[in-house]
Amino acid sequence: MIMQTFSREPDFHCSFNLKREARFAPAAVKSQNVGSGAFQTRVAELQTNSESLRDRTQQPMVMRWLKDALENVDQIDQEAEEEDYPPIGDVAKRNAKSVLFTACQSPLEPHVYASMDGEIGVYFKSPVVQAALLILLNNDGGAGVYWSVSGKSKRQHYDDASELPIDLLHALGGLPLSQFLE
Amino acid sequence: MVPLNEAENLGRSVCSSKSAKKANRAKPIPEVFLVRLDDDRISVDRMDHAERREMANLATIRGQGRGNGSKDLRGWALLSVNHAAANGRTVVASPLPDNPYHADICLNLPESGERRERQKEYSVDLAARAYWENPP
Repeated sequence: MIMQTFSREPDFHCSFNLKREARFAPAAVKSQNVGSGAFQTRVAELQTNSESLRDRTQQPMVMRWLKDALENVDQIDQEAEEEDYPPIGDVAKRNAKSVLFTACQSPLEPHVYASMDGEIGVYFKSPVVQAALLILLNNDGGAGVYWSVSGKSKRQHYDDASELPIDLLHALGGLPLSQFLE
Repeated sequence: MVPLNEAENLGRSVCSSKSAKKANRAKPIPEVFLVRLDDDRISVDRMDHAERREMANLATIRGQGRGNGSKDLRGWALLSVNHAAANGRTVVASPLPDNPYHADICLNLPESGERRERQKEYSVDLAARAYWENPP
């Protein structure tokens, strides 16, 4: 069940958007006056839009959230200041970006936020089943991993964030999360 | 006030600065359920016993009393008493003079070097079980 949750979303969105585009484009063409310059311009616009839309919907899920998540890391100082949280160091920001790149094939969009302990949180939550994973990157270069799956919660601390289990992060990209979160 | 029952909803109100990033603060992220190291209770409201507008007023007043500057109510992270009381936690009704709907989720964590880590673990467990509701 968890495997389905982590793997099926990108295909669903792609097929839906492509079908919708294909259905609406011919209807727009029919309403034009055949042979006019305006019509040909409009057709060219539609073709351009269609190709653009197709490109966008065929992009892997990584393109959907990675840019926003990286921007959130860049703006994390402002968030920490507004919430009256301790400042966040460069090492935590670098490690947060590294985690995001490593997990970038995940169909789940993570929430990136400043924590009250001066860490950066990267949080993934399933929209369908009761499963969530939090990675907290601290200013000492370490990381804490906390997860809850089907009512069971666990945690693991790493003094060096580069020691985070890569398999765990790849699991967010579609492999069954339960394999790694026993 | 009626006794707590397993199915009723508890709400953890989320307030933040006006200019804070709404996208992050309007979600039941674990931070919502993380309390200070010396705090073993998470303050919540019993959401099923009054209109949402009344609960919003209570939460707004409480939010304005926390931290620096003006804080606006972003919404609630909601979860059932049953979920809140899982994994060794308990829930107690703790009405206040100005808030008869107040309750606490007690983490029941002993004093130890691992306490903060366990608080964070519980915050993820609670967030995984919670869902979001916007204010009216």
